[in-house]
Amino acid sequence: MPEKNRETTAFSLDDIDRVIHMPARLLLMKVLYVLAGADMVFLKRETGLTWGNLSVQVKNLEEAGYVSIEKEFVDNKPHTLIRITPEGQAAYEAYRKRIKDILK
Amino acid sequence: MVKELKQLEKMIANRFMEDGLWDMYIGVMAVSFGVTILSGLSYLTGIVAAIGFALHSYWKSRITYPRVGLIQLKHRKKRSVISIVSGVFLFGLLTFTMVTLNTENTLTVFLQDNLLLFIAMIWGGTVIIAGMTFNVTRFYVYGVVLFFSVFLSDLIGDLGLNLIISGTLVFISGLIVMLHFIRKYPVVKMRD
Repeated sequence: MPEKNRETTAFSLDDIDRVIHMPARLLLMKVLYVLAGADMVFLKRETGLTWGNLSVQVKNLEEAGYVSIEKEFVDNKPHTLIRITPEGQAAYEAYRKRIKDILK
Repeated sequence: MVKELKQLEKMIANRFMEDGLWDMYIGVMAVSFGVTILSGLSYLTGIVAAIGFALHSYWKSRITYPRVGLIQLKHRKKRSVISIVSGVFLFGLLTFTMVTLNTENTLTVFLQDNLLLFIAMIWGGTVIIAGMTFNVTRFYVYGVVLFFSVFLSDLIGDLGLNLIISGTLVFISGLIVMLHFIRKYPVVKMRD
């Protein structure tokens, strides 16, 4: 968008969180927001993403500090648990609010 | 949390009740309670409860988690479960204590006169409250069946036999729910 037009826009899109804005990550954040934690099998079932894509999106969220990845053992098997961080919760709430404001 | 997110949380939690394992556990407990009454083996229910709980956890990890994954709910759900278990335990303990007290206290006499009603309330009430907490409507039916199978045992059949029959029905229902769950959610392959 040209700079001149951007100044006249009622809602700036610049402050939309691009990490969350991507559909797959948005879906992951939405699910993780309501839970204390979830594993990769659950997230795969819930989002319908491929293993590769899911791993990449979770990694992106982790790099943004929105989720934490915990490796643990369940029934002697390695198991990965994903949790939303307080920063992730705040970012998701801010994102929701921002999108609602724009859609109003 | 906003309404639609609460709905999402409920929907997710509900999926973990679709495996029918809790239904089967309730059924087994009712049957064992019935057998205890008929046989007089007072320790049987305790043993079955412990073994059943261990088996429940084992089957959860064998059947449920490979299909729908593993989640941790937020603390308020845990609090609800602890409240139910504690409430039922305290209610049962209080009733048992009052009934066994050798006094002419009006409450004790009332409890002794209406013992079936209180046992029915403990069985039916627990299952109905569990259904309300986890939003599982079929538990209401189990609760009603268990309540009446105990409460009406003076009129129809026998307390022990009624519990065995109703417990078996609940168990079979759980088995059907589990088969449906297995068909609906195939095991998730670990890699593409």
